Order: sequence, then C-alpha cells, then structure tokens
Amino acid sequence: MVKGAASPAGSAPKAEPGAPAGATAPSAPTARDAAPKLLEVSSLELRFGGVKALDDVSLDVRRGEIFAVIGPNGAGKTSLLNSISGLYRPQSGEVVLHTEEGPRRLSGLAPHAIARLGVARSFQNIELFRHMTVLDNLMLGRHVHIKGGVVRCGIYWGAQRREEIRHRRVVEEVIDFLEIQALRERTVGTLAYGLQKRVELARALALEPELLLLDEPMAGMNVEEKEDIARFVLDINQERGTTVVLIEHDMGVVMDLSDQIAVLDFGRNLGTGTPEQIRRDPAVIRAYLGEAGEALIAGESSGDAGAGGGTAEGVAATANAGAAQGESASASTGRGSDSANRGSSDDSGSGSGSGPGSGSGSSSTPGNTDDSRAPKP
Amino acid sequence: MDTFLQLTLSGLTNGMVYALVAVGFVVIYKASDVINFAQGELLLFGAYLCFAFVGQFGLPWSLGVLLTMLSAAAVGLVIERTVLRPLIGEPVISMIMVTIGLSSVLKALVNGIWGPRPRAFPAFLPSGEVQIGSAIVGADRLLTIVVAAVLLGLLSLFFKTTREGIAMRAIADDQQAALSMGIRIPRVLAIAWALAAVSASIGGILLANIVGVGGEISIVGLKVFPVVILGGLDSIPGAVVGGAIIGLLEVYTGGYIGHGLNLIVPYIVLILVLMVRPYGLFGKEIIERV
Amino acid sequence: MRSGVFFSDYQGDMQLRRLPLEKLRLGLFLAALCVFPFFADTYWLTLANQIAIATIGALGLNVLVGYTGQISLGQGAFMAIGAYSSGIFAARFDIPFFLSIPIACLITAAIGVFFGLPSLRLKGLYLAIATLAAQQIVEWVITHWTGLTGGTEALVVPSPRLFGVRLNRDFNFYWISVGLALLVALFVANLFRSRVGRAMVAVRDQDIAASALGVDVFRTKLVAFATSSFLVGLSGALIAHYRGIVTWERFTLETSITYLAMIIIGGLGTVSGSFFGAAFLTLLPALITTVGRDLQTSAPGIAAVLPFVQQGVFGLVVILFLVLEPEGLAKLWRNVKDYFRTWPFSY
Repeated sequence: MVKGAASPAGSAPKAEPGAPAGATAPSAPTARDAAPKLLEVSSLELRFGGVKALDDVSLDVRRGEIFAVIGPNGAGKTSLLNSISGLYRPQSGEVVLHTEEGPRRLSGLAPHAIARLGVARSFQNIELFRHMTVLDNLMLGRHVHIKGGVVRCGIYWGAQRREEIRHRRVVEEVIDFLEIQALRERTVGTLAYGLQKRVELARALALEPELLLLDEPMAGMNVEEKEDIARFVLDINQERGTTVVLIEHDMGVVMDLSDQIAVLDFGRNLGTGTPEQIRRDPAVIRAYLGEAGEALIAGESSGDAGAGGGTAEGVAATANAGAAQGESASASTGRGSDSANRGSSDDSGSGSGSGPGSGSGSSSTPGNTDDSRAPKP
Repeated sequence: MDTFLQLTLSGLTNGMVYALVAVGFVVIYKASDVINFAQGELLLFGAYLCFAFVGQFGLPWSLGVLLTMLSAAAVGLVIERTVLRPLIGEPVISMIMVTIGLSSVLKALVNGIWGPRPRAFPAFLPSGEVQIGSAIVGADRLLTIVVAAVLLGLLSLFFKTTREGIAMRAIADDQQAALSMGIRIPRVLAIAWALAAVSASIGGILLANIVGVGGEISIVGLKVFPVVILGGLDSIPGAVVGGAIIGLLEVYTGGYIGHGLNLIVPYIVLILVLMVRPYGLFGKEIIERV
Repeated sequence: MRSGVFFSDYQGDMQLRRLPLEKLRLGLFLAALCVFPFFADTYWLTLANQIAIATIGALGLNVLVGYTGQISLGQGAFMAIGAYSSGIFAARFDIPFFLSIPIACLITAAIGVFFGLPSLRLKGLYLAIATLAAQQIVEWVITHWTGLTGGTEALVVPSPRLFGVRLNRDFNFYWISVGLALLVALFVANLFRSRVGRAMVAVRDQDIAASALGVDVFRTKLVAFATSSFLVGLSGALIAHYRGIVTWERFTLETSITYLAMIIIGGLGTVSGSFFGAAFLTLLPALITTVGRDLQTSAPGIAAVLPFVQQGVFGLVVILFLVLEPEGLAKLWRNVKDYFRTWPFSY
C-alpha cells in the first residue's frame, strides 16, 4: 500500500471506479486532481486464451502530463498501449478519451478511428515503412489531416498539389523540431537504429496528436541518444502541450521525466502515483525483486543507511541491469531500502523522502548500477 | 443406389489422387512456407515418366514405377537446390511466381517431349470389375483408393515418428530454434521436395492407369488449392479429408445437378471456406503480434 | 543523392522528374513516340499497340500487387469483364466506343471492389488463392452464360469510328493506345506521390502501423482493387475494340500469370517497370515466333513445338529473373542510369 493511504482519516481516499486494492489514494486533493482528464482507463481486462494480459487495470491520464507506465517484462504494458490504441480488443472494461468535443469511447473503435481522434503512437519494435523515405514516412503521419481521394490524387495538378505542399510545410516543422533534416531523402531501412526510433517519434508527432503513446522509445540506445530522446519528449510535452504516455524501463529517465507513474505487474496495476511515491512503494519493489527479495529487505534491518538508497528505482535499476547477483545485491540494497521504509513511515503527506536512504533521486544512472551498491557483473 | 455407389467410388478415387498431390503441397508448405504452384505439374510429369518407362521403353511395370519414383525424387531435389534455395527470404509473391514459372517449364517439357495429344497408357492395375452390393465398380479405382490410403497413412506416420518428419515439423514452427537444435535445414527441405515430387508422381501413375495420359491429367493440378484450403494448408490429415470431400462433391454435383457446375464447385467451396474459416478444417491459426 | 541540384520550393522538390537531364530524356522519349508510327510498318505498329495496351493492364495490376501488396491472380477475369462489357454495349446496344469503354471500366471497378472484399480478412497467400478461385469462377460464368456472352463463341465488336474514320487500323489506334498509356502512367505516378498512394504503400509495408496512423486499411485495399480493376478493365476494353472480336481464351488464368510475370520481371511497384515488363513479354514471344518461322526451312518440326517453346521460355525467364534480379528490369535500368550518372567515377 502506498504510504499516502495510511495517512490519518479525514481525507477520503479518491477511489477510482473498479480500482484494485493497491491503487493510489492520495490524502489531500492535489493540483493534479484539478487538471482535466484526457484519458480514462477503467477495469480493462484482456485475455489471450488462458493468459490474462491485463487484469482489471484502471488509470487516468491528465491533460498535459507525462505519464509513465513501468513494470517488469511481460507485465502487460504494451498490451495496455495496444488496447488504448485499438489494436487489441479487451474483453471488458472501457477506455475513454476526453476530447475537445466531449468524451469519446475508444473501446471498440478501429485503430484508424482512434488515430483520427488525435491519438498517435510509436512501437516497441520499429514499425516504420522500410522502403519509403523518411519524408514519405512523415507525410504518412499527416494522413488524417490531408484531404484528397483517388481521382484528385491521380490528377494531382491543382488542388491536390497545393494540399500536399501545405502539409509538407508542417512535416518540415517536425523535421526541424527533431533535428533530422539530413535524413529526409534517406530510405528508412538504411538508417541506424537510434535514428529510426527518432523518425518513428517524428512520424507520430506529424499527426499532431493530443495524446502520444510511446512504447520504449529509448530501448537499445546509449546514454547520449537517450538524453536526446528525453529532451525531445520533454519539448513535445512542454512546447506543444502534448500529453504523453510513456513505457520505459530506464528508471532514471522515468523518474526525471514523469509527472505520474503507473506500475504494472502480471497485468495488474500495482499502484499509480508521483515518482516520489512510487519509488518508495514496497509493492513495486516486490515486483522487481520478488517475495524472497522483499523478505530479505525486511529481514536485513540494520541501521546503516547504505549508499545510494534502496529506492524502487535503485532496485529496478539493479534488476534491469541484470546485476541482481543473489544475496549480495539484495543485501546491499536491502539495508538502504529498509531504512527508506523506516524513514518514510515517519512521514505524512506525499513523499518528500526525508529518510536517509532516499538520498538523491538521481543516484542511479540510466541502466547502470552504482558500484557501491552491487558487485560488478 | 447403384448410381450413388458408383459416384461415391468415382469421387473417392479422384479424391485420393487429389490427396496425394495435396499432401506433397502440404509437406513443402510445412517445411518451408513455400507454396508450390507446380505441384500439379509434378503429377503430370510423374504420369508421363511412367508412360515413358513402361509404355515407350517396355520395362516391366514394377521397375517402371520404381524408376519413376526415383526420377521424381531427383527432380524434386534439383528443383529445391537450384530454384528454391536462392529465394529463401523473398516475399510471398516471388515464391508464388517462381513455382508458377516452374510449372510452365514442366508443362512445356511434357508437351514438348511427348506431345499434347492423349496417349494410351499401359495400365497395369487390374482392370477387372468388382461387385460391391448391387454396384459394379472398376478394380483399378478400388485399388487406387487403397494404395493411396496406405501411402498417406505411411506419410502420416513418417511425420509423427521419424526423425526427419519431426525435424520438418520443427522447421515449420520455428526455423531459428530448429537450427539451434542442430537440424540441417537444407537437407530437410530437400527431403520435403523429394517426398512431394514422389507423392505427386504416384498420384499421376494411379490416375494415368484409369484415364490415360494427356488431357484430363493436366487440370488436376489446380484442384490442389480447394483441397488444401478446405483441409488446412499445413495439415496432412486435412489434405486427405479435403481431397475426399472435394472429389465426392465434384461427382455428386456432376451426377445429380449437372450443367457443368461440377467444374467450379471446388472453387465455390474454396471461397466459402475462406470466408468462414480461412484455416480450413485442420489448419493452425497464425497469430500476429506487434 | 544528386549533388548540385537544389530547389527553393516544395513544388520543385516534389516533381516527377527533377534533373534537367531526366526531363530531356523524357522529352526525347515522347518525341520518339510521336515520330515512330510514321516510319513503322504494320507489324511493328501492331506490336506497339499491343505493348501500349499491355502497359495499361500492367500498370493496373501493379497498383494492386506492386504498390498495395495485394496478390491477385484475377487479372484475366478483370480484363474479360472489361472486354465483354464494352463489347456487348457496342455490339448489342450500339453505344459508341468512347462511352462503352468508360462504362465498362466502371463496371469492372465495381466488380473489382467485390473481389476485394476477402482482403478484409485474408492476406498474402490466402488472398492469392481466393483470387485464383474468383478467376476460375468468372471464366466459368463467361463460358456458360451463353445468353449474355455467347459462351465460347467469339463476340464480334464493331469497329470504333469517329467522324467516319475507322479507328482500329493500326496507325490510327496507335494514338489512342499510346496516348491512354501515357495518361495512365502519369495518373499512377501522381497517385503514388500523394496521399492515397502513400497510404496504399503503407498498407503493403506495415498495415498495423498504417492503421495506427489513421489509415483505414480495408478501405484503402478496396480503393486499390477498384482503381486497379478500372485500369485493367480499360486494357480489356481496348483489346476488344482493337481486335474487333472478344474470345474467352484471351482472358484465362494464363493471362493472369502472364501479367504477374510482366510486373515482376519489369519491377514491382514502379511505373517504368510496368512498361518494361509489358514490352519484354510482348516482344519475347514475337521474337520466338519469328525465329521459329525462319528456322522452319532447316528444321521442319519446329512449328509443332513452338507453343511449348514459348511456354518453356516464359517459365525460364520468370525463374531466371526471380533468382538473379528480383527487382526486375526497372532495377537494371536504374543501374544503367546510375552508371552513366557517375561515370567515370562509378566507385
């Protein structure tokens, strides 16, 4: 249970419809509650044969925020995104988009209809049109905005040409924004991986979406490339006001960028909260280390604060970097996280991390583990 | 009742021949995802080869049949090596077209060497008549059904029990995993093509015994598609069941309805199956993940 | 990338021919086309007409198969529908060709949409097989619906006339067939540098991503079927009026296969490839026939074998191209152009 729910009575927990037991219930109305909702996911259930990919998942995304979805591999994050964008049809539950014209039910709509409502996305495995140039890929991003049927396109001269030029200008703006000018005429299949990911981001942007769904936009990149993408995502959010839902494994990035985080595991939403709240949540830590790990953390209660702090992000970074080398790793993080727990249980109100273990949020660098915390693999 | 029995046997005979051709098709598809448009021409080639060995060179039929099977296997191997292997990984349409090109070449060879006019095939299946109930049926048709059924049963066993058979199913499922298990894919593919060619050639020999060579034999090839779609592209039992159903439907339509409808009934069935249940009776569904 | 060529507006950047050299080459080609008929004899004019009509058919098929990735074995059927429709309108209802042809095209397009319905659920191989079945069914309908089509008998089509001039003499028809071929080529080229064409290629490459970008995949496929069938019906109708008779044997599965071979040998998904393939597969049989006739004196048995030689060579050529140069003649042509463009610094 996130610590906010344990706070004194008098503040009614904000219960979302069909919210699972571990859902966030902030004690006092925050600024976030006042912000208008853009996307509302309620009790989503998705099954493939006997496997439950999504189990009663609910969350909501406010306009203009960056919302991250994290969790171990196979937790259902991509399934969630696919359900929102219409590629999967959940067996039950609802997805509602609150557009300018009012709430629109996304569940049951075809993917292209959802795109037309202003929802764009990128894919975990790059799904660019490999034989087209970057320019053509981006112009396809404009598809919902460009007008013109078969005959008009075939004739081309006149109305259609003007239309194409108009949208070419918009695409050029996106090209400038993401700094891919040199790549315009390149066939996408010939580009380096990192650049392809950027082009995919550009293509989604070209749609001028209200809601941008990004599925691991930084997967497989080095530190420099990740920083570039992170900067772009922030720019997209701040300069264009686009709401972003982001699946990402890199905890450092997630903690730095997001306004709100949801944690998924085994298809269930373990909890939603601010980065601070999430990093302390024992359920989250358990998800990354398992029951044994959590017991280890609980058992190893020494007063030593431990370097770097056993925050959820540290734990996650450890787990993800594959450096969770049995006892030594969990022991070293255990001490830190235990003190963090002790530290946080004294707190009231939303986590400002006064415990020694929680130290500086940026203690973990993307994808690397702190040497002091775990033995080098 | 007689008519019904006659028709049924006729239908089953044709059906079993279709099944022999279809099985080869399925084997190739299972092992390599290749659609062999030339499968019908392999039947044609088999029939004519046997005609050449037994009819033109005067060899005893057992030897002729054996030689035909060996030659067919050789042809299958050559095709796999020279034409199919360079095309691994190319898109579906290339693969379809290359086997279409192949079918053209085979057809041209057959017509060029032996001429398009029908020839008398020295039938070696007993041509007597057998009485079943109140109907009189040709022994050759009966034997065709039996022989085909036995062969198909053996093939089925091959896939379930032998190493090569299991290897083929493994490849069809996941080439990378199969490779990492030490399965030599080119060898297995070669076996697949050899098997397909032999199976088709046996079908051709059986059919030629009944209707001779030339004419009718050459259109059998296209029928393989309704059969495999009905049965399931990757299912051997499906090929057998599909073949039987299509063969029976054809003769029943011809016998009871007429108007030439028996010519397109297989294709109507094909379209219906595709609309209702594209993977056929026994085929496996493919799931696409993004 | 071509160096030294810059445009200051998007219009320039999006032209079909950007380099002055390209424009020159195109101009020369067009000039040659205009001059050709005055110097060619009937034999070559006939061939030119056949190539032009085949190009239109190939362009139509390429729209569906090359650009949109929907495999279709129904080319023969669509050409038959175009030919018979226009032929019947002209022969039975005295409708002039310049009306019967467009109407026939629209009819073919409508039936094409119907053929395209399976594409909602079927892809690749399954779609190919569905179109194969459709081809067989249409063939059967044509040969059995004797009331409408005359069954297996030839349908005689009156000569197209305009202001009293008989238009299906080779010289006169040349202007129609080549003119239309050029227009269709332009149409297709325009289509694929604009919205609708891009969507079609997207459907071919990644239909899931395309739908996530707002492309209505099913609708796009149907539009591809309709457009393709319109153009293919046009080529069928032109054949009907050019030859003056319509026979079902010209529109069988073999025809479908021949056209597929044209666009594959020519180059899938290219305008020039459609032309190259059409020319190649029209000239090749003509060449073989000529050679066969010349050899007739020294090897008298040749005439009997000739059709099989045609068939065998066709198959071989298809196989060779697929094994050696899967991107077809268009790629070879690009190699030639590249060579001269960078000569003598081809490294």
